Amino acid sequence: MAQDEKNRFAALIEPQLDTLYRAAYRLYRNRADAEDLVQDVCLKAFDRLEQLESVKSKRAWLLRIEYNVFIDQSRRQSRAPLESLDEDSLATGPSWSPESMIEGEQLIIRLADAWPQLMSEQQALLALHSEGYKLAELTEITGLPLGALKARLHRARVRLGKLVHDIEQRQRFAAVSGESK
Amino acid sequence: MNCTEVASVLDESPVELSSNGLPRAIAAHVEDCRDCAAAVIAQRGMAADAPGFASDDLLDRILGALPGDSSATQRAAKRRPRRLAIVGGILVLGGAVYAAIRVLSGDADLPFGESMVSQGREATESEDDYSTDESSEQNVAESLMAFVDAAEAEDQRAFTDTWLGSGSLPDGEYFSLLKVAPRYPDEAAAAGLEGAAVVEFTVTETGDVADVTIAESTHALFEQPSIDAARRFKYKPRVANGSAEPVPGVRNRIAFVLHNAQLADENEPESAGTGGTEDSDSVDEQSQQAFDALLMPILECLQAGNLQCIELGLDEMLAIREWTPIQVAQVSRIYGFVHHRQGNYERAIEAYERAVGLIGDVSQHYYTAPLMTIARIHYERGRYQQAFDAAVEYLKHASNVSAGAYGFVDELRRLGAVPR
Repeated sequence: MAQDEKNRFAALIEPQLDTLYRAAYRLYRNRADAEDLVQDVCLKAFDRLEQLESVKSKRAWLLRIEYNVFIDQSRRQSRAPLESLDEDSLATGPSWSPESMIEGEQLIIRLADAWPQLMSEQQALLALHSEGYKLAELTEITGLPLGALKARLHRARVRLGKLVHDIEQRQRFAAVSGESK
Repeated sequence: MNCTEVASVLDESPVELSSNGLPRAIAAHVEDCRDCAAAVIAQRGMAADAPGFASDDLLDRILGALPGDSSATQRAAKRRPRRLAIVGGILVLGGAVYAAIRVLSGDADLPFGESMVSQGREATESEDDYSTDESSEQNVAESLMAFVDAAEAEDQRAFTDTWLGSGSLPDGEYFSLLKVAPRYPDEAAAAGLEGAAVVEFTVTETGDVADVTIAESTHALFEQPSIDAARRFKYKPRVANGSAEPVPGVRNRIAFVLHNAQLADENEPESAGTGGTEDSDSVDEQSQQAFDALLMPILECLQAGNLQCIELGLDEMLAIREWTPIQVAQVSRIYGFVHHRQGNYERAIEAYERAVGLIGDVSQHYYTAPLMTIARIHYERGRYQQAFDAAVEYLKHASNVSAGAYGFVDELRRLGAVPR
């Protein structure tokens, strides 16, 4: 009986693994933690095998579990205080157009530095949205009403972008003033 | 953070936009708009850092980690009573009595998320069951209130301890803060009987009443109601040589006059507890779920010490739907806390007073908790009478009142505040 369940489960979960992994990777930004998250999600899904078999949109159902588990895990972990953005210093910095800004690998590195400073819900929204999930799907996954979802997603983008810019400006200043990082 | 010019474009085309470059109209806008420029940077960064694929052996590892000794259904059934007991216990501790009663009475179908119900299958478990951390079952609103309570209590201790001086209380005589009207005995009322009783008791070091006895009475029917009422009186304790001390032998005459049982000293304030807004305790489940979901990011902001994001979130909450009076009181209290921390004192008072005004049951912690903070802010702004009024209201109804709070009230009287 148990082996039969595992076989049924494997058949259901295998097509969803890459989906779950990619979203998890965007959340944790490293393979090991991402795969751990996927494993946690799958263990929970296995306990609800009947539900998994009957649910219409398995992808949304599993992503919802992943979203909730990620939020719970993040709350339990000790988090560094969020760095407050000094709007004045940003305003007096050099003008910043996204066209002339950090690109490619530099951007990814800055983004990785900025990422831990987001709230876990912001990370989750950005991660899922950048994986291509539309707003309607995100409302199903997160349980947020559409208006709140759009507002939070936009705030998350703005927040992340400003953090990236702030990090970039500090490192430029450090380079110019001869300080080591 | 107001401009959302690019938001709808970024919402709908996350990947395509980033890879194909900005449409000309948007590119022109972001040159001048920092918020929108930041949003585009973030979008591009997220698109650039694309994950690969799951490891080839991930499925094998997952299957290897699955328990194999019993079926999924059996495991879920075995876990349910334990989970119910844990959930029930934690929710009781957390103060969410409503949900706890449901669980412990055997109603195991906890509320489930709307999107799962829309799948056409009757939900039997809460989406909260997906959490591996049992403590996350606690009502988010209760967690938030506990956080605000702890922060405010710390401030309050620091403030009221200043009235302790160098370890001692300011000397002062005892005086009554609260006298409760007695219940008129049914038999006496039916017989048209009026009368009085004199109670004798000790005012303790904490301002409570102990050792209540009847010194004299006109009829035995009036004795127990008089004792019951006296036990609920509250006093600011006597302080001599810097220490609170009990005062035995305090007497109070309680008169029973038909249609209105009266206390002997009619200049003393009647107890509160009447009027006010009735708060419904039977919060709709879906409403509480929605409330908690919207409060969750606010809790994270508070824990991280980021107050700036909280006000926006609270504004949004109040705009989205109508909440119950107690939910609005909770939101108002958080507003008050944030404004206070940010130095917006008038707005803090306004928010705290709104929270207090929404709670009809004066014995509730939500009623008493903000009062001393209101008193403190008024005091710091030189409004001693208003500070006194709020502090006395707090002393009337709060439990575990610190000695420093009484010292504060004494100080306000010295500054000219008078009991109303």
